[in-house]
Amino acid sequence: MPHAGPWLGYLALASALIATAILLHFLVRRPALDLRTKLMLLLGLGVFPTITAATSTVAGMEATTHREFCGSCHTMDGHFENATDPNEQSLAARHSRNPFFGDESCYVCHADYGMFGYALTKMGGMKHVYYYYLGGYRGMSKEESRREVHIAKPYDNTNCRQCHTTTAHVWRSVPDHQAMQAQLAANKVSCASPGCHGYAHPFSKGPDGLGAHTAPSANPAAEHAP
Amino acid sequence: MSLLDRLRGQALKRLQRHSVISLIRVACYVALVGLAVMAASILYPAPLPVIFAMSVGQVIGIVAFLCYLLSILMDIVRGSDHAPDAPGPARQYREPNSKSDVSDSV
Repeated sequence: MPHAGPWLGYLALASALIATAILLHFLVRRPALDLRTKLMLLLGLGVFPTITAATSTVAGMEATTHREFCGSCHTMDGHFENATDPNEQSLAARHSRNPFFGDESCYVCHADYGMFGYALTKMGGMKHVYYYYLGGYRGMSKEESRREVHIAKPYDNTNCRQCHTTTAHVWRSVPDHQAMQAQLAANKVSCASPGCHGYAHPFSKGPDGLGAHTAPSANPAAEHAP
Repeated sequence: MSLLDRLRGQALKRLQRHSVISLIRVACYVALVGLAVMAASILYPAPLPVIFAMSVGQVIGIVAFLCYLLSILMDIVRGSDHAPDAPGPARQYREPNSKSDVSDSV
């Protein structure tokens, strides 16, 4: 999603205010329905609401990429706190401190980067909302969610390679990288695994941070969760 | 007369009975609700307000605009013999002995 900035939100609010003023003027002052009034109503019922709808959609979509948005569900509290802890050294925390994309670190690391990646990522997000409100996640305690909520599918190394291209000399000079280049490309070995760069959210992998309690869940919906 | 013609006739009569002004007022109220929903998603960008604004809020806005278009269409159908702010149907659709016709002639 392109960085539209806060001005889109201001534009949406401004056009909504103008439309509201036109509509309230018509409702309160009750002017005659002549051509001038009809044109004003066209602005108040057609043009400005369309601007509001378009800009609020873009602003809303952009809001969904912010870390605070992802952390607004209590089941993500642990991940959010882990990512925002200034003293934490996990992959998620270090990436969240990046000045270029840290505010959107959840989206940047978990987005699907395929041709229809944006739409697929948003559809996945809708599934999360469904699971939260209708799939029983809302009633989960933080401890339960830490045990039950897992990533939907194995983390794709392609997401890491959006930034870490694996073509730079520094990367190639690491013997482990050279030895496992084929496995990394085929996703047989994850960059974010113990022995390599470690789990992105180690707190969710048990007391030792190594996946000691990540047994298969009894809740089938939880298997599809992030 | 077929059932379709009868239904169409009834729908037209019902439309003509209601005034253009009241339909526009309904459109205004509906649009205000839609605008409030969309503005709320900007001021409070949590999952439910954002999803609600992008689905229900936009449908509400479309319904309001369609009401406006319908009222304009009705206004055109009513014709030019009707004062812009007069309530009720145009003369051509009124009952010959209706009260409004009497008052008009007086």
